[in-house]
Amino acid sequence: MNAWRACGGCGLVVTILVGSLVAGCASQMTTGAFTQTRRIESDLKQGVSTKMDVQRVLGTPTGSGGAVFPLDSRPREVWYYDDIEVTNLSSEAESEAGLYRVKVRQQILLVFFEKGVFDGFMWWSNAGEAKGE
Amino acid sequence: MELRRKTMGVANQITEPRLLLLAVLSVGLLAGCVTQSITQTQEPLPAGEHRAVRIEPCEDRTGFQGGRDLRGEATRTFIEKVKAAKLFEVTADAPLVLTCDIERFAEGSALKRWVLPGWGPTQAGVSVMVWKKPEETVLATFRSQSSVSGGGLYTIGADQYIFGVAFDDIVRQLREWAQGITPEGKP
Repeated sequence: MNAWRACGGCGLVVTILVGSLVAGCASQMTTGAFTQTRRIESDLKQGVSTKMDVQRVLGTPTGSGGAVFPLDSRPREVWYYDDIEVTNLSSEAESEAGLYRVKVRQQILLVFFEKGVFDGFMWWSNAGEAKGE
Repeated sequence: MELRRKTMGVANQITEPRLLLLAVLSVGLLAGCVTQSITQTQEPLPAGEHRAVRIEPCEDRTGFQGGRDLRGEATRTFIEKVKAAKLFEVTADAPLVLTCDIERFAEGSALKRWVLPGWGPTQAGVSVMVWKKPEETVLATFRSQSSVSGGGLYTIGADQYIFGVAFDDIVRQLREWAQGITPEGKP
């Protein structure tokens, strides 16, 4: 007991250290890098493929909604896929103190449906590995 | 100075060994694993008519190269969890269909986590869509990400149960949806 008391703030420090070893969690939300983009045009047919066909090729969408485009009054349902993830974080200590370089992979894919049937898609990516042919 | 006095006061209170042990155990029990959920409800469960579901095999979309059958592991775990929850009867021809995607998986390492919390996390991300056949209407979408990114050697084997943690969360979301409870907590 005396040793503990003599240590003073040691108990708090030990608690924090042990606690940080025993616990500590983190997680992130991302769909992961798109890996099936090449299959959109090969496996999906405009005006034919269903939502379930799209789900089989691309997986579960991150979000969904609806849209009406200018000069085309047909309403379309939209499935939204995204993948935004920090892939590398590095510091450039020798040049400018406190400067960090962050590489971010950003991919956005919109899939359009008209009356529940695949009607087209639009996508954007800054990842060199993902190609739509 | 006031802040310093308060900090030292807290330190002196925790010098009692039993309190110290309690504090450590509390931290260990309260943390260790994180699960994040996203529920998107398009339509409520039709009342009284669909209490049977067909579960399609999970699709592995992770690109995992570790030589494990993630598809099989996740599908088995998902079916077990749904059956254990007694929410739905699992049949081969039910009008409600559950599709499942494995979106993220990392085996991680308990040794790395012990050396440095946050290093070598074990992660699993799964999503489930509820479809109504034959119209192929999407009724709801559930997503869960579970992660063990800290902890000592007692987290060995986290890669074996991480799918179970994620699907427990999916089943919880399924139950709330089936009971008409919205993500905001109101029926």
